[in-house]
Amino acid sequence: MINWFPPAAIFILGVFLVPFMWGRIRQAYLLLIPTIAFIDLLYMSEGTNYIFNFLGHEIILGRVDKLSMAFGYVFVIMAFIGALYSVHLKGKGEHIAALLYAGSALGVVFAGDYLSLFIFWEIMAVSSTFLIWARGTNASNGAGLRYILIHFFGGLLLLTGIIIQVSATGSLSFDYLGLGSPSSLLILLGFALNAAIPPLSAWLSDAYPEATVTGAVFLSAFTTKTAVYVLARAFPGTEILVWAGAIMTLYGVVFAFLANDIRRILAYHIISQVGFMVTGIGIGTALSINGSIAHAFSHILYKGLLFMGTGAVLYMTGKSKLTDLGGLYKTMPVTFILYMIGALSISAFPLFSGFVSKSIIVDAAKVEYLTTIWILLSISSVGTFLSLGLKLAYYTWFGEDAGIEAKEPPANMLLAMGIASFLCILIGVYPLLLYNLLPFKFEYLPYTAEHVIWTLQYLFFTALCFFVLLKYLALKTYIVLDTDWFYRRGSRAVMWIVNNHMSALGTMLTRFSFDIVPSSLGRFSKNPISFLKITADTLIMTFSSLPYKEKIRRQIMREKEIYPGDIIRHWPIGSTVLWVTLFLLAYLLIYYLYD
Amino acid sequence: MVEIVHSAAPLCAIGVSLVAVILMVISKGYPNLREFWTIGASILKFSIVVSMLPTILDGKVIEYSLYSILPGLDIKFRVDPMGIFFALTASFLWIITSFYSIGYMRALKEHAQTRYFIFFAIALSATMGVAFSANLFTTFLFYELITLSTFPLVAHTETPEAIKSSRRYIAYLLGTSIAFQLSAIFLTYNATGTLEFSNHGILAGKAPDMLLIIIFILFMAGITKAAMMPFHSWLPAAMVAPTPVSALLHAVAVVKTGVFVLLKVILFVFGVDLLSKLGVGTALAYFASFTIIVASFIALRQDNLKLRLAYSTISQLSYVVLAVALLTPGGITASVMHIIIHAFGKITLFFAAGAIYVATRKTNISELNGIGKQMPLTMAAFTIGVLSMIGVPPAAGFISKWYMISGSIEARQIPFIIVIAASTILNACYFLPIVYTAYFKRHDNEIYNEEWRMLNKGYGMINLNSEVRIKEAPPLMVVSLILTAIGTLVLFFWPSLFLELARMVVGGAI
Repeated sequence: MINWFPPAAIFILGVFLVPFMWGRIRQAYLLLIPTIAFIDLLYMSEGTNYIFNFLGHEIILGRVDKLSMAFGYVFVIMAFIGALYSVHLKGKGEHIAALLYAGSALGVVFAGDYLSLFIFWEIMAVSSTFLIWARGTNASNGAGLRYILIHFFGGLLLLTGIIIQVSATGSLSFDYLGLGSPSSLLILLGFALNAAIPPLSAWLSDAYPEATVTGAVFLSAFTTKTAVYVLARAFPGTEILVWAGAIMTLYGVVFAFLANDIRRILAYHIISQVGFMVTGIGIGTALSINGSIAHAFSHILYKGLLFMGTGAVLYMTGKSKLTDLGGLYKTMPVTFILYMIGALSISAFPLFSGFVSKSIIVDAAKVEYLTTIWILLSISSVGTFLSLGLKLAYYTWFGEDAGIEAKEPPANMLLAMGIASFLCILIGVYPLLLYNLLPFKFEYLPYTAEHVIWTLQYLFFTALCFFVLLKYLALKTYIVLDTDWFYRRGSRAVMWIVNNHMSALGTMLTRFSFDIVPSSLGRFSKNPISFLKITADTLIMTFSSLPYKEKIRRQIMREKEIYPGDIIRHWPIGSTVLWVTLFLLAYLLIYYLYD
Repeated sequence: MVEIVHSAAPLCAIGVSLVAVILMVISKGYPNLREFWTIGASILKFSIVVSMLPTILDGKVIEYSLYSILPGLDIKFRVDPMGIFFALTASFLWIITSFYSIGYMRALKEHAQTRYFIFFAIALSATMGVAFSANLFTTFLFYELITLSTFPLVAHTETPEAIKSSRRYIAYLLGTSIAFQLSAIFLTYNATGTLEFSNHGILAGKAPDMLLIIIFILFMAGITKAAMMPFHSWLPAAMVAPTPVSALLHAVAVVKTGVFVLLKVILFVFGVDLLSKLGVGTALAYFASFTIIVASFIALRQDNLKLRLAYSTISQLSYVVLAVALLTPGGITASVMHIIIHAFGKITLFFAAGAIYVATRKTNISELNGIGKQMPLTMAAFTIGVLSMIGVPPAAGFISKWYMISGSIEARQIPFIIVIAASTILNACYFLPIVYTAYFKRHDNEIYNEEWRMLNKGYGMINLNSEVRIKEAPPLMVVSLILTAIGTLVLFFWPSLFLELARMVVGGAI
């Protein structure tokens, strides 16, 4: 019999006990849940289990193979590190949201069919929004609302694609799909939105910097990497992804350069690094897909570390803008070192995790003779180091001293960062640990002389350029216009039309139908003949020539004055009887003639 | 042939609350006894309906002839899958609403409580009557009875505004149903000689197409309880009623009767084949889409919580109309399921609005800053209701959306998927700000205390507790809304009973 639980269940069911615990017990419990999930992972064996029937379809909650296990491991590890980082929080809201978020991400990873995938997908979107709203500022209220609206939109694209798929093929199973039919395009778009492929990426840079200090750590780990997982399962080898990914890498780096908020810089770098993974999926060879998964694994760890480091700066100083920071190396040296480990990892320094994973993708591009892609990826590697390893670190920890008195963050945050750093270095030094988790069998040696020299070469030259050109790289504050300008301005325009014109139209229609029409009918019914006569006279007046116009106008005014007047005077009863008799006679004639 | 069982059970289900009315009149001076009759009647009514369920699930149908006024005009009851679906929803939610009403009325020390409970019971009787009616005449009779019996409920507070609104309420509902629905019934009888509902409709081939289209338009205009634009204004006007009445009106009795009768007319008077042939399905779907979108935009502009919920109801009711207008199995399933799914979701939202009013006397969304800390249970239930309205799993609204999109694809009509998508986003736009205002905006107490502390920093005064104290509405109300919120979740995980009934409806109609 199966001796394991879907890890999603451990997190989601674990949420129910959180309100009943407090203090140290709750803290221990929050760390216990990911630990139990990790042990659970060790017991999981390949295969498909936990099959249920829902809405007339078969849903699979436990599809285990190497691809899903790789993501499962890194998600649970990150959930533990994030829980440790956030264990000092007093309120339970963020903890519940984070647990649901991690749990539903694991649900997506082990889902074997589209329906359960979609259900967990939506739970991820809703729970992550609470991590953004929990910040409590006006900016985070708006950013969170935009975040969830965009994710509902992406979810709708995905849902429509799924339903078209299921009505066309009759099967909900989630396996290789490939881009071919309209439904697969919709599903791809739904996945692409979560993967933050531009132009569907503005939500990431909008919302992640507005999240709480601890929430951003979770956010950086799950949504985009879940999207990478589903893309790797359903769309490997799709050519458009190769180009989309390569452009993404540059897009992220360029916008990161323009950004001022340290966590916004990191958010744009998420887009850039996910671009590497998307390219790897698009190339589609065993080597490149392995590279994407490996890169996702190391990215979760080092990006989490970077967000933890910058989050610590925000938490201890209350500031997050490069223009407001500087000179922190004196007061926060440990944070600085741990941050730099993350920065060196992302820049793919040898001996760090980024080196052993990013190289696989770049090499895969080389092997397939995709020269342009290779060049683009290399340029963005340079940009990544420049932006994160050099510019951000310099202006936050060195640079002009902003005179901020800050201390090191609390022990739990340092410990969490320490664990993440340790893992980054461990994977960098002993990559086989990571390579054994990858879905395809391969032999890859990242530490070749050629490779190490090439990497060190461009990294050191980048550093040289940075320090030489330092005075030209003075910080300016920009407002970066991203693709969200369209829907943010667009929705304001729509609301302007609704508030002014649509409501005016509605008021006018209501007034017309329920005010003017009944009152006109009321006036009419008081003296219909006279009313009709006034109307007829008015018509004659408009169509008659000038001398008569004045005469008729005065007549109309007299008639209106005496309205409703006394009707009986105008119609003697004799003529009424005559008219009625004639009418009945005519009816009689017609009846007999046509019978 | 469907096997027919003759039993007086439907009459009993209707009659139970009428008997309770007499008992309530007698026990006028004894509030607890009077409340006992209400609760007893509601539980008994639900039990009778449930007792009929096994027979219906077996594929049989229960009939009972009450009285024949003229040949062709009889008061006759028939219990079929759709009828019992609606009756289960209405009678179960009446039990919960009764407890909620007791809590609400006593907390606010309202006047004329006996009148309130009496007309509530009559309204539910009439609802059962519509659910179990076998022909258009019985339907019309009980339909008007609902309007008349809910009129005193809408005018309950007896303020000038309430009197004016209740006049508008009855003008719209009675006016349109007599002008249009009654004419349509006359024309149907004239064309077919019968008013009985039947699978595959009674009007096929009985009259020229033009006349059939006119009858259809008259029916659609006349069933105003379904709140389709432009005859929707009675619903926001009815918000002057006490909140349990609004909850009942907007989840159970009046509006669901409207869409229920509309479904019956479309499926069992006209029939899916006839409507596809006439091509009016698409036109109706566009009308419904118009209501869905425009009502959502109007909801965006409302600050009063109950008005926002009212316009949301108008929008959601047209979901049912849109779904059935697609004339496909998925669409019909969606429309039937949405009756109960929307009922549970909306009643939770209204219960929460009433609880907020009782606990804090606040009615506007802009006043609700930080109320999630003060009323955590209420707002948690509210959030679940919101998720159901938007259609996010694990709330039951997702099931409606799944079937609606399936129905659109079966009908090969892509524009309606865009309508559903736009409506989902709009629902999120006007409901989610309430959620984050409640949870993530600073409660007035917190700001007040913080300012006070900043001003008095130097004086070493006592530390004011800036914690917002939990102050929920009375337990009867809070338990009710938690139960309906849980019901929304339960419907998501175990919808099989209702899906089975919906499947039987589809089987009968197609």
